[in-house]
Formats: sequence, structure tokens, C-alpha cells
Amino acid sequence: MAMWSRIHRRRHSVYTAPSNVPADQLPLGRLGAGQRAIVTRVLGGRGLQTRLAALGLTVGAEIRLIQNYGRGPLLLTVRETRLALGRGEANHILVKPC
Amino acid sequence: MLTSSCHPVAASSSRAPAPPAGASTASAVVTIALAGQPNVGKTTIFNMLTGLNQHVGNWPGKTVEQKTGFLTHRGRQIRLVDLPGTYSLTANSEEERLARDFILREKPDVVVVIVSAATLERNLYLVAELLAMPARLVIGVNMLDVAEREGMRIETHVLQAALGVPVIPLIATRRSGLEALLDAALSLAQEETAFSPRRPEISAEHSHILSAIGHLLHDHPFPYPVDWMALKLLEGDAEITAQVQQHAPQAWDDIHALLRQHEDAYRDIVQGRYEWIGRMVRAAIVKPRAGAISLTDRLDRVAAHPFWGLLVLLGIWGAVFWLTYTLAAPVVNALDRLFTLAANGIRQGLTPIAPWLSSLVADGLLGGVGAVFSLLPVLVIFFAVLGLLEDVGYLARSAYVMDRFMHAIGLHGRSFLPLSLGFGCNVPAVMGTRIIEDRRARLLTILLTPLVPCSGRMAVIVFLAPAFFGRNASLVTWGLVAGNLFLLFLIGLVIHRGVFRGQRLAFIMEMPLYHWPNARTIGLYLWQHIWAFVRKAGTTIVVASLLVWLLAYLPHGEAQHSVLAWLGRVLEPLGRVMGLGDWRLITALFSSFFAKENTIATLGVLYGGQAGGGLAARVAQSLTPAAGLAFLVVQMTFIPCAATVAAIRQETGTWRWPAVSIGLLLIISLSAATLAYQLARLAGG
Repeated sequence: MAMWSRIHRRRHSVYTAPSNVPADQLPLGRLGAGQRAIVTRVLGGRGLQTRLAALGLTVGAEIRLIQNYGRGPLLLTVRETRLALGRGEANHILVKPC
Repeated sequence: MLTSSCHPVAASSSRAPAPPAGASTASAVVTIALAGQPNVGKTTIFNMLTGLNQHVGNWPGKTVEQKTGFLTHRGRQIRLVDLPGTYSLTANSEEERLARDFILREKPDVVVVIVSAATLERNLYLVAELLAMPARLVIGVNMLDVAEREGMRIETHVLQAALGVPVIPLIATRRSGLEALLDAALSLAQEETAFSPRRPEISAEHSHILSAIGHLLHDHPFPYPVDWMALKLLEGDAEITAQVQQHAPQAWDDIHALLRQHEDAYRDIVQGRYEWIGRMVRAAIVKPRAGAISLTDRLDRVAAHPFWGLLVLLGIWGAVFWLTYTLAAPVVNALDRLFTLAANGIRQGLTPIAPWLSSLVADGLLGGVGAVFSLLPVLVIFFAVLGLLEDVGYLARSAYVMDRFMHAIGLHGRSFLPLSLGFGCNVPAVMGTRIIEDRRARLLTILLTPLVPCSGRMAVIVFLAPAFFGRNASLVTWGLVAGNLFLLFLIGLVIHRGVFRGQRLAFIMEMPLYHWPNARTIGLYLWQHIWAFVRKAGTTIVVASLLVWLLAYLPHGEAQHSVLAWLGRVLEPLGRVMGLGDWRLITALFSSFFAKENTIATLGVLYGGQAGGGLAARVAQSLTPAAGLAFLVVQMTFIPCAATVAAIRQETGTWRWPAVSIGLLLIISLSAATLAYQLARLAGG
């Protein structure tokens, strides 16, 4: 249980944006609708990473953002798949727009 | 080493079970496992191949559904096992563990993997994982028509040459390619075709580590292949890691040291798989997806929009209830009249001969079970519409649209799916919470599920409301549903803020492409749910209504002075606060514990034996409108039925949560009904 709250608190802290992001990159949650980008880093624990990887969200994958209203979940396509992603998870993924 | 107790003895028998008496030995059953990621049409293919000749049960000791079907192809008997649809085979969920354990331990003759042509790249990830296992694969590329509509073209024979695995083109909804798929599987099972696939590779550095780990594991009797275990350890698989820690602690120390030096191995493996996929796909996809905006994109602009999507959602659910209500109501009434008529006929015929038998058949059996079966139309319409929504791909959108609202009560969009299943029946809803990975969110969803009015409760309302409220019946029904959902939201908010202290959850979900519904898939979905209900009505409800009849008949054959009447009268003071000072109503309410529909069955038994009018009208005559409203409110929010309680016990593993659920709902329902009664009386009802 203690472990759980720790994980959640960590997730909370990156809810807005992680620090030390390179200038040419940004968290997925800040990408605009219609923009394309390449995934440069996936943060978070192994559990989240394996789940994202199985759905195609790995470093180097090209994504296209379909919907981002600034709040709530996002809609995107990656490797021909449409994914819905919570805002918290989206901010675990760093991308480089292209 | 020889007595590896983990290894199931059944493994060898499933490969070649004893032929039935009289059959020749040539007809040994071939076991084929059907694997695939979600949304590739795997269920459709399973249903097409097996039809109604399938057995739906649970995996041994688990609550995940296991479907097994039997078919004969070219004179060979085939046992087709539908593995749970999973994105990968890393122990992230119960489903993933079950799927890989089946392949590794039961050793099916062939594993048929279904991939979708429209999402080929991602679907091949599962194939990459399967190729790391000692399994013989056949790949079925489904939905070629969908891909074509998206402007893509895929050369399956090129894919076959690149992979070194038989690849069969399929359009399952048109039954195209299924014969060829079975042919390929049988040929591989009988070892007529050699199986030499091209597997994904990992970098030289890490393949060295892989063999080092494999070497360390070699002397330990694990029920899994050593190479595969080494790969899973490199990937950081939680279950395999735990098994090695437990059963080979000495080896683990060395392995752990190796793993710590190579923490980047996981990324290398995943990267290697996608590079392999890239090579396979580059050759096979002759024409990539056209840049044009697809139909799915256009539909999602509305259906997944934060505002318009919500309107669509409300409209669709409104239509579901409207359809159910308008289409089912006349059939329900007709069936009710038919059963009343039959009961009267039996009473006239049998009473002179044997009064007790007449009462048993007319009141106990017909009054009870008949009333329940007349509710079947409600369920048929509800599950047909829900099956349609699921099949076209809309349900995932409803989860997406609801996500932001579910966050307010500490859940995310995924929880909306089991909850919406709850409108049909709470039992699959409780079991459906498996799709929620977080345990707290799952518990909260389970606790909230009984507040979703199931069709059993809705049927009671649909049955009684018209007699109680006449033209205002639909208004009252809508109000009751809204009231339940308001309570659900309120309780969720309190638990989330108070107990779970507002923590956030991960929401990751695939949005399948929209596609035309398949009548057969929906038909089977409907048939499975309806059959489950009929079975339940045939057992639990028959027993319960006969029990109620017996208690109402003993000791003198008069309901007014029976054991049941005595029990009901003891509880009458409690009922009086809610305006329900009639023991028959209290009894009917408590009998809903056996099954929600039982309320009608019990009312049928207790109000039976009077001439004229339907049952609902007879109940209405004995109640003021305020008391009628209170009865409907308490019925809508009462404790979960026995089957739901059992499901909660099964899913949570302790009796604590069913107890919490019963206690919580008892308080909620009694206070809500009391409030409704007192308010309605003040309003002059």
C-alpha cells in the first residue's frame, strides 16, 4: 500500500511537465492536434513501459496527435493504431515534433 | 528433476486424448489455440469456426472466461481453445499469464495467431513474442477488406516468405479464408510442413547475457523453457522473476547481478522486435494507408469530442432504454396475461382433485417462473443493442468520452465499460472489472456496480411502474435510473475523496476502427447472455420461488397465516417508515436477494389466487402512490443479489468486500426509500 501511494505521488508530480526537457522536445500532452512527432523518451516504471511498448509506444515510433483539448484524455495514432491516453501518461512520454 | 510437480500431467493427454470408444485411432483430436491482440476479429473467427458448438467456462481456478469449441475439418476432430485477447505476453495481467501458460504448459499442436491487416505492425508484436516460445504458428491476416477501404494493400505471400511462417489472408466476416486457415493449421499439426520461422534477434551483447542466464537456470526444474525464461528475466517480467527468486534463490543472486549490469536490455529487446517487424512489414505492405482522412477519423470528430461526444453518448443510451422500454413492454404484458390465464386454467382443473398441487403449479411454478420468463424480451433487446454497440466499435468511445467524468470519482474511462454492462446484469459487470489494472480502482468499481440498475431491477420497474403511475410511468422510470446514477456518483466521490484521497490512475486504451456490424457475432453475444439468464432462471429462481411458495403455503395452505407472513410481519415496523407496512412487499423485497426478478415472482405467489386484472394492477390497488414510489426506490437500490455477492467474493478474494457492499447498500436503500416516501407524502402523493 505504501508502495502504491509512492507510485501515485510520483505520477502526480509529472502531471504538468517533467523538468530538464531538451529544448527541441516536449511532453506529449503539449503537442497540438494534427501535429506529428517522434517519441524520444518514455519515463515511468517498467509496468507502464511494457504496457506502452505492447501498444507500439516506444522510442523512435512516429505518432500523430488527433485530439488534445488541453484537459482530459488525448487521442493519437501510433503504428497504425488509435490510442486513448490519459493526460498523466501522455506527460510521461517525451516527443520531438517533426 | 524427474518429478517436476509444477508440470501438469494433463499436458500430454490434451495432445492426444484417448479416442472415443468405437472410433479409429486416426481421429485423435488436434488442439489448436487461437491467439491474437484485442480488436482483430478473433472472436468472430472463433464463432464462425465453432458456431454454437462451444463451451464457455472459466480457466481452472480463475475468473477469466475460457471458450473451447469443437469442429471437424477434413475428417479430423479439432479442439479450438480461444486464448484471452492480449497485447503482449508479459505478465501485466491475468489474461496474459493465462495465455502464455496455456501455450507453454498445455502445448497445443498449433497456435493460430490472428492479426488485423489494418493494424499489422502493432499486431505483429504479439507474433514476435510467440516466436520466442516453442510453439508452431499459423498467422491469419484478417480484415483485409477494412485495410483496403483505408487505402492499404498487403501481400500476404510476401509476409509468409519473410516470416517463414504460414500466412493466410482472411476476411472473416465473409467467411473468406477460414478453410485455408484450418488446412494450414492441420498440415502443421501433422508435421507435413516444416516450421522454420525467422525470429527477432537481440544485439550480440545481450544475446551473450541471455545464454549466461539460461545456463544458470539450467539445473532447476521450471515448467518453462529455459531460453524463454531468460528472455523474460531480461524484460523484467514480474512473475518469472518472482518464480526464480522463490525456487532458485542461489541462481537468482548471480542472475540479479547480471541483470543489474544490463538494465538497458529491456529497451534493446523491444527495439529489436519492432525493427524485426519493420523489416517484415516493409516488404509486405505494397501500398501504405492513404493520407486521406478516414471514416474513423471523421466519426471520432463527433463521437470522441468532449461535448458532442457526450451528447452522442446520452442520445445512444437514451435510445437503448427507449427501445427496450417501448419494444419490450407490450410483449411483457402479453406474456404476463398469458401466464395468468394459464394459472387460472390450471387452478380450475386441478383444485377439485388436489388443492395443494394446484397451488404448487399455479402459484409456485407458473406465478413465479412464468413472471420471470415474461421478462426475457427486456434482456433480449438490451443485449442485442449492447452487442451491436460493441461490435461497431462504439463502446471504446464511450469510455474515452466518460474518462474526464470518471476521474472526478477516482476512476478512469475503462471503469465505464463494466459499469455499463451492469445495466444488463451486475454479475458480468463485477467480472468485467478485470480490465482495470489498478486494484483500488477495481475495488471502487466493484462497490459501485450494484448501484447500476440491472435489467432484473429494470424489469420489475417496467412491470410495476405503469400500474402504479399510469401515464407518468416513463418519467418515474427515468427519474429512478437518474437517482441511482446520482447515488453512484455521490458514493464514488465520497469514497475517492475520503478513503483513497484523490489519487490518479493510468488510462491507456485502444480505439478500434469503426466497422460494419456482423449479425453472427451479435447473435452469438446475445445468445450467450440470454442462455446464461435462462439457465439462472431455470435453477436459482425456480428453487427460490418454490421456497417462497412453500413458506407461504405452510402450515395451513393459507398465505395470510403462513410462516412467510409471520416473517414479513416481524419486519413490518421497518417497512412502515417507508410506507411499506404490508408484509407481502417486505417479503418480495427480501426475496430479490436470490435474484432481482424474484420480486415479481414473489408478488405473483403472494398476490396470486385473486380473480381479475394483471398482477401489477393488483399490487397497485394495495398501495398509495407515495408507498409505490418508495417500493420502487428501495427495489432499485437494494442489496446485491446472491449471484452478484458470489461474484464480488470471487473477484476480491475475501468476504470483506461483499459484506461492505451489502452493508453499504442496505443503508443507502433504506434511507433513500424513506426519504422518497416522506417527500412524496409531503408533496401530497
